[in-house]
Formats: sequence, C-alpha cells, structure tokens
Amino acid sequence: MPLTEQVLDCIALQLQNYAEAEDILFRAKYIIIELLTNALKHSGTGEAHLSVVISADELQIIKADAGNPLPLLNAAMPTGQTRVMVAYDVMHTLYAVLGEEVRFVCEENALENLDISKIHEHFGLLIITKTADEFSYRYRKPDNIFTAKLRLYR
Amino acid sequence: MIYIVKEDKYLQVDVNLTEANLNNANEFKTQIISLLDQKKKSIVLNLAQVQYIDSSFLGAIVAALKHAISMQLDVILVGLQPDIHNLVKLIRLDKVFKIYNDYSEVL
Repeated sequence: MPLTEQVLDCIALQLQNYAEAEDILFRAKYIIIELLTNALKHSGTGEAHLSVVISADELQIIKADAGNPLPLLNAAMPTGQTRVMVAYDVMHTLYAVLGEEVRFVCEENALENLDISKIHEHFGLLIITKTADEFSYRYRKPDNIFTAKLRLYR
Repeated sequence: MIYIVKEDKYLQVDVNLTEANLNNANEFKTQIISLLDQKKKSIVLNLAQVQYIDSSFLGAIVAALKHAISMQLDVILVGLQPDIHNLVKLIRLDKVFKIYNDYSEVL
C-alpha cells in the first residue's frame, strides 16, 4: 500500500517531537486505509482527494470525492431529535449526530450472551469513528467531505 | 492466497498476502468457506504475513467464523502483527475470536 505508506512517512516526519506519535501513526494508518476503501466501495467515482493538515494540536485527515451524498442527509427526524442510528450490532451502536455537519459517534454495547451470528461484517465507519477523536461528514456540492481529527500532545 | 500447512485436529492455514484488502476479501471468503465445507475441521488461520488489513477483509474473516460456528467449528487467529492485533481489539473482535501468538499455543 505505497500511497498509505507515503502519507504516513510524511506524517511521521512532522510528529517527531510529539508524545504518543506511535499511537497517532497507528490511528492515522487505519483512518487512511478506511477512507480510501470507502472511496473505492461507495463513492461511485474514479477519483478521491486525500489531504492531511497538521497544526500545533491537531492532525486532520480529509477525504473528498464527488460521488453521491450520504442518504442519511435526507433522514426524516422527529422534532428535537438530532441523532440517528446508522448501524447496530451486538457489540456497537453507531450514530450520526446531525447538524451543520454530520458527526459520527459510537457506543459499545454490553456483551451479555454474545451471539456471533449477529455481528456485522461491515467495519469501515466503525474503525474510523473509534480511531479518530472526531469524525465528521459534510456535503458541499459536488463534494462529499469526510474529516477525521486526531488531537496532538507535545 | 490460502495454503493448508498442516492437517491434524485443526486445519493449519497460512494467508499468503501482505495486503489483505477489498481486492482479495471476496476470494478469501469463498476459499475459506469452501475449505470448511470440504474438511469439516476448525481452522487456525495464520496471518503473520499480513502487513495491511482493511475492513473488507476483516468482514470476510468474520463471515468465515460465522460459517464455522454454524457447523459447530471454529476459526482461530494466530500470528497477528501488533497493529493488526490492536485494530482487532479496538473493534472488539478479540471478544469473538480466539487469538494466539502461534500454532503451538493453540494445541
């Protein structure tokens, strides 16, 4: 996976003076892999743009493509409700919090009488949501923009 | 892509991939499920060669485990690279799979 390696090498150079650089690189690696996998599987376009922005206290990984917008943007919400469940299995519940942008959050479910036959086989959004400190989506016609943020500590 | 290294109580199977991803996940799933159907033995899957894994391939391994369990069999993971093991723990698949360092620990 040369592209992922190249991006990670660039990030590693910038993080030399940061604590927990190894953990950040681990998380960045799987965010990049899953954002690119998502582009291949779901965007329906042949092109995606990946950007990495590093500031003093934050690393942002941004993927943009011109594919179809996420259907949950049109979800009918009861008045006052801002959170919609996008995936559930016996181990996790994944929500989209709707606002100016869609922010994904994950809750771990209690593992009583774990029924393996009910575990999902789709982990992409879950991996990004759990590895990022914040993971969000917005649609700015014609672009779908996914942003994963990781906090940095010197 | 997958090779039977040894057959005794278990099928010891190596995954001969450095990148386990969307490109090979479906073929892997077909092969491993076919192996379960033919041999009717639990599989010890050695992932030591895998340096990169994505959600598609993890989904294929979970599909194989579900198939095995429906046959009262198992899929056991060995040889996980440290960051793949960390990823597996992050999404709680360590609660689902038996995971060992190598085949000798399984026995």
